[in-house]
Amino acid sequence: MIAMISSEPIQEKLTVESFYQGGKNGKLLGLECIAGHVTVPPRRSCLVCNSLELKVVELSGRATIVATTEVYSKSKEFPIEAPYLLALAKLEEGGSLLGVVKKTQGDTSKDVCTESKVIVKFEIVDPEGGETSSTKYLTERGRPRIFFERV
Amino acid sequence: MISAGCARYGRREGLSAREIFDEALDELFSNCPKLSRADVGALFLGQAFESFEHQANTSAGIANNYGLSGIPTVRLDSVSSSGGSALRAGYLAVVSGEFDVVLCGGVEKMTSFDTPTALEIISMAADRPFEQWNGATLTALNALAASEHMRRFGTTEEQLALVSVKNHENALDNPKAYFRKKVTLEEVLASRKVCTPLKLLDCSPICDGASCIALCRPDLATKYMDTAIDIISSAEASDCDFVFREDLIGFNATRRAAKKALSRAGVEVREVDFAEVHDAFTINEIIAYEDLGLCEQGAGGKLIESGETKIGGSIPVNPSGGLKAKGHPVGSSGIGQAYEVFIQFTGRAAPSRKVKDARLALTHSMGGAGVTAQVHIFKARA
Repeated sequence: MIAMISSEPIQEKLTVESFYQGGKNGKLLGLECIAGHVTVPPRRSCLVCNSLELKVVELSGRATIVATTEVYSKSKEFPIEAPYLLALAKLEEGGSLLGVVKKTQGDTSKDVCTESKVIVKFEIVDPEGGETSSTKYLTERGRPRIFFERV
Repeated sequence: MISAGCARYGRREGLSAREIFDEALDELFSNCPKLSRADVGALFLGQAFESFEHQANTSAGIANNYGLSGIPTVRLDSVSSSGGSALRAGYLAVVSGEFDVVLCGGVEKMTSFDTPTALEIISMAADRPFEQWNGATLTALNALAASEHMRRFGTTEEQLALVSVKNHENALDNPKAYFRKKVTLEEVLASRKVCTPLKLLDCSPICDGASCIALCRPDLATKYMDTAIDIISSAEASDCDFVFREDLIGFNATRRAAKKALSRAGVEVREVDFAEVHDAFTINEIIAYEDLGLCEQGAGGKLIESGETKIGGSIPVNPSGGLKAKGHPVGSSGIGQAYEVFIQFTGRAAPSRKVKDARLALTHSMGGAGVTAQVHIFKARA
């Protein structure tokens, strides 16, 4: 029996489409490079060391908020009513995401701040489209949006 | 740089982009009578958005419209630094030896839609799938950067507001400025919230405008103009989009471009007589102070408070009024900064905003939240 060892570097790709498809299926996907760095959002090269040798990994969804802003003036097409709380959260494994923080009853924006622990959630807000949605782009139809839920 | 022209920034009712740009060209040729249209070898035009007039390939239309017939042209987009890109491209075209004289212009017509629609178009500056899609506009990204700057360094909303106060004051006697009235610290702090901590008066306005400069080979300058203004260095750089970054502040694109430009010119940043920097949002000016090396990282708030960056201070910043008060017709801004250098160096600035004995200046243009940046250094020839 001959053991075949592949000498080809692993260069898996995670497209925007596959990332959001994963989200629809309840999975937060990312990329891990040969040195163990995690890249999210997905892109072709490792965001820490530029490596192209990446493999697709599933992440926990646990994240910590790094910065927030209360958005009063939004893009017309975004389907969430303003004001909403936008946050940048750093994922436990590495990488970051931007998303809207879900309001829990009784929350004030003071309750959600830097260092708050959250879980990443994907939700389709505007499946059929509407006047203020961006489903004019066929490539985005049915795509979920990213939210953060406090733990 | 042998000439420059600028169309008044503001709501230019009844004028389309090409007509606003004509105004800038009229002034440019009038400022340099020895320069004729036939001398111009190429036009590099900064204009970020096709959507405002549903028009692409504008540079060829604009050049031929004015009788700059048949010349090579190209439109450059790097959103808010499109003008900076045009300046860089024109510079490279001349130093390559391919062209003797070129025009670097910038234009944006932004008032053809209501504000919400304009904001939607402008939000193209952010990454589509991971920033725009999840609720981030360019303003929101800068607001996140401001939040982080305040948390890490104790920068205050008052310090941000002081940038707006200074730039409004600078624009008072600038005939090209959109806003020519003072604002008080209280007015800025009381203005309505846009994306916290940024308020309306922390944000540059949507407006129309255009500007254009003429560049030529250094040995030909005195053929056209008595006092030559040399571009002694030019640099540009980029960075990944905001959401991909390890650190939210400062902006690497600015740092990279500034380091290259200053080292190529053999100049320390504090040697410049003034700087025109990108202040689309007040926080941008504070971060620019740090990224350009005018002060240590985190000390930008203290620097604006000190008054050193006022006209008459040790390092005036944005004597034109900046993007905040002069205006930010996106594609024009990076060229408008070079126009200000021309005005100051040729003694055309009104006495109240004149930078005394200005002979060395730096311009800094930035696109997105530090996604692209260009830095240029101008020196008046002896």
